[in-house]
Amino acid sequence: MHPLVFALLFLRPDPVIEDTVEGVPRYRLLPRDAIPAIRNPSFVSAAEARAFMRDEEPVMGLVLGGEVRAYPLWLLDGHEIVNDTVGKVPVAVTW
Amino acid sequence: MIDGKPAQLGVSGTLWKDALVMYDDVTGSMWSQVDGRAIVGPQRGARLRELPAVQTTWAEWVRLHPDTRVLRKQGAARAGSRYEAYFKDPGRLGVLGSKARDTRLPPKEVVIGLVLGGEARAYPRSRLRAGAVVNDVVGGVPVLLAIHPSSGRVDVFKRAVAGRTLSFGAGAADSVKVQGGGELDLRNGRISGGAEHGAVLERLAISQPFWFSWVAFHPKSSFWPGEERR
Repeated sequence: MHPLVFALLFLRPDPVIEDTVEGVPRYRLLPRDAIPAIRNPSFVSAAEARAFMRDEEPVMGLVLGGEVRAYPLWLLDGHEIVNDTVGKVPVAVTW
Repeated sequence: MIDGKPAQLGVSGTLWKDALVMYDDVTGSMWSQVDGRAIVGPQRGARLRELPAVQTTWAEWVRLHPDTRVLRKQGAARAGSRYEAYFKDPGRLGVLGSKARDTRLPPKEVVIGLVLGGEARAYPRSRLRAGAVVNDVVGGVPVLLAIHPSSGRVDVFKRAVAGRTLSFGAGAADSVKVQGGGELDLRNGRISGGAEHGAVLERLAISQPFWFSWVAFHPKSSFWPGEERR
């Protein structure tokens, strides 16, 4: 998780209502892109990944169009979204 | 793809039903992460197509897919989840501190959430033991849930081939037995042996949210086991 969101968990601020959808308020906590989505992801092989991955760490795995990708969730904590193209399909991996 | 163009999604900085709201850079619409639906803007009402990703550990994923590529850790990579304290706190519901309204399950119980054929269904993780094989029906579609006996990884497939419904029972670690003969490889959905040899089952998209969040988006959700369905 991004440090700003981590701080919010403790501060419990009174958030501003941006608008209301289906009777439920949408709250603004941060400016747009304060948490930066990944837009130009780069990938390494499994062999290279062993240098920075721990056995027990959680990943989101995707098999699409003949390609296989793993997205480490501890990394996604700080970005929330990865924009990628997998097997020619534009995807967003969100956590 | 949004409005016919490949869009990029960003973090809007807003929350709706205590969940992430994303914006797209083609139309500026706001999209709810939990159900992939646009809630504000020109795309309101549209849905993003959900893809069946698998959530597991690195060790297990690379064992199943030694040819995997891995997103490189850039910037301030951390060891460990920053959410750990939040996950463990049964009283803290979301960043803004939601109130638990639907008490059929404890609010921070993790459920496997599936939406199919117009039905939302939740499978409480605590009721699914390691190695569980569940044959169920959701929205009229026969589904299989398999919980890996050691890792707890969840694999969900549509359990039908050309209109024929299949049923399954426990097998070896990464496969389950087809009733009547054959084995299903949970890694890729491929059946070997038996009458359906060579068939590939469709993997289904699931989520694993907390109950309080799931039921906020799907107030009419059924949950398993409930009444048995074949």
